[in-house]
Amino acid sequence: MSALLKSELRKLIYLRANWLLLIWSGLFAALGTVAPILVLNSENGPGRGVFSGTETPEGINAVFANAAGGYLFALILGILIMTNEYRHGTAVGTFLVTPKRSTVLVAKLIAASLAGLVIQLFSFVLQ
Amino acid sequence: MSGVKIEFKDLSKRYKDVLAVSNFSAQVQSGRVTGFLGPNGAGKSTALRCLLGLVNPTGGSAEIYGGSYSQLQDPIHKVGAVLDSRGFHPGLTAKQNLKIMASASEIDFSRIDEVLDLVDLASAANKRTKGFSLGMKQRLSLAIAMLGDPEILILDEPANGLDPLGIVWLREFLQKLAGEGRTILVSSHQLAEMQNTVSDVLIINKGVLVAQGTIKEICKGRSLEEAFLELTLRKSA
Repeated sequence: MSALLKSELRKLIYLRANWLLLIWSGLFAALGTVAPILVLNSENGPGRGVFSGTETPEGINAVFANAAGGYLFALILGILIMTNEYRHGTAVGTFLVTPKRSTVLVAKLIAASLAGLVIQLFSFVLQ
Repeated sequence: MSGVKIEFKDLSKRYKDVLAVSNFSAQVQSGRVTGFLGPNGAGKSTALRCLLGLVNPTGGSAEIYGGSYSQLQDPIHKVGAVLDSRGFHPGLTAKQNLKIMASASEIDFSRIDEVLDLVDLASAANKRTKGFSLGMKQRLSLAIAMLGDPEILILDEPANGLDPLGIVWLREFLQKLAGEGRTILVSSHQLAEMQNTVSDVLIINKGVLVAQGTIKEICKGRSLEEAFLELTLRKSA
């Protein structure tokens, strides 16, 4: 099981696309934090009449709602972890090494959870 | 240990309306190269996939080491398989693909360089596989199959799409492995090529076993192609 988990983590780490996802999640979260603050607090911004600035609780809520956007990329990564196996036909090799498919799924689940955690932490730090 | 380590027992597989394999029974002798021959759509791949536990048979069984593939402990140390040339991620290098497979079954990474040497891919070890030619992909598949140094090799159409040079390379590669006493089951419809490589023959047509025996018994002085055409046409007529 631990060997299988290592193998799954390797699949995540080796793929450049995954690192891009991580970077995007951070940028997205940073943008999601900065943009609402600028818009809500701008003098003539559309917000003044309709929304409140960041001095009000509503304004703060709006900022936090946008800032959490990095999770979207964890979602995408989660989908890719599973679908990549079928897209590239690597599922065959994976199942030949580990014929018990439930074990493979558990290893993938753990690897994906760890990756999701990393993405959330990273995007949290950047915002 | 000699004898039989691969056995199809009344194997049947139905996909909706298509009976891909029908009551197929055959044995593969250990330590020999067995050609698994049949026209396209004859059921070769389906039978091999049943043997490797990738699809569940509708009836009967395909046994390896006296049981199903999924019962094997550490299967890739016993059985290596090449099913198509799509078994790895194009965005990763040859070595990374091998490391993923090796770490899943706790194979030492020093073995990776050995298998890359074995298939003459050492110079492309750190290249992404998306730039690989078909011949290189086939050789990488063979490298993956050889990772666990298995006693049994199962190859589905390994010569497909190879150029003449690649075919010569594959023939010599298989002969070398056979010389080491491994059991090789190789499916193909390239009969002239198989004639020089295999010692035993299994012929399947429309999901049914047509003939099995040594190449001498099957050919009876004819070329494998003549024997094959006569056997498959006679049975289907």
